[in-house]
Amino acid sequence: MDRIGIAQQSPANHDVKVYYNFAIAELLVREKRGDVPSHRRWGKVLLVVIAGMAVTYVSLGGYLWWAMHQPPEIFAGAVARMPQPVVFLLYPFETLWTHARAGGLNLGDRAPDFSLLKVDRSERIQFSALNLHKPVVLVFGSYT
Amino acid sequence: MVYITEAHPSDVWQMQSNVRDSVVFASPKSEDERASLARMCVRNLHIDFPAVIDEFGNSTERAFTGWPDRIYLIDAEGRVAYKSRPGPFGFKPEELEAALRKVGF
Repeated sequence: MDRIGIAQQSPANHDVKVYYNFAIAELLVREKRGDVPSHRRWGKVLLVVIAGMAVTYVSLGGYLWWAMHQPPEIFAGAVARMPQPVVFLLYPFETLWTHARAGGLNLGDRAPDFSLLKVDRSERIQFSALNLHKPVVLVFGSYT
Repeated sequence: MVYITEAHPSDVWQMQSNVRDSVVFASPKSEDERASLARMCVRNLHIDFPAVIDEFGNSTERAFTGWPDRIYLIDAEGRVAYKSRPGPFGFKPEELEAALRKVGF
């Protein structure tokens, strides 16, 4: 209010100073009410928004990483509930997937044996018998 | 081929590409349903090499980390000679071709 008083008492450029006086007064009142955020307030708002986005990004990424280490049906269900294009665009999906699904088998390791029915269920195949003295290609996959 | 858990069943993670190709199936709920879908897969994709079905507990998929798709080459001594990166990104038949050449094919 001191600034208003000083402006009103000044004889020179009276009209301009009165206008200035009213403008300042209005700003002070509005700022007091919280109508006009100061630069500092906007800075804080921006900081909160950025922090919120960072927390969301890290949380969603952590969830994605966790899901990639779960059994296929849990991972698929989790990803299906995520905002699809966003997940694939915002995160290095392929890199994360490659690491998460690296698996424990390495080159040179002995392949685990298994015994499974043929698709037509006509007979059971023992992998070690099939692999006896000849290389075998294993292609894992499904229809969808 | 080792037929394993469906990658994009309609009740879990439906893909538009599957709708476009009319490959829309829900997750099999029994061994019989899984076998039926596996047969359809082999027939419609014209897979003419031996195909087996992973059991319902997915033990073979887990042993090889095969989901959603993956290629291995096991040499004559029973050791892993080639292992693709996990699919779909790492499913590259041309890499298998190179690995096969290395073991004399």
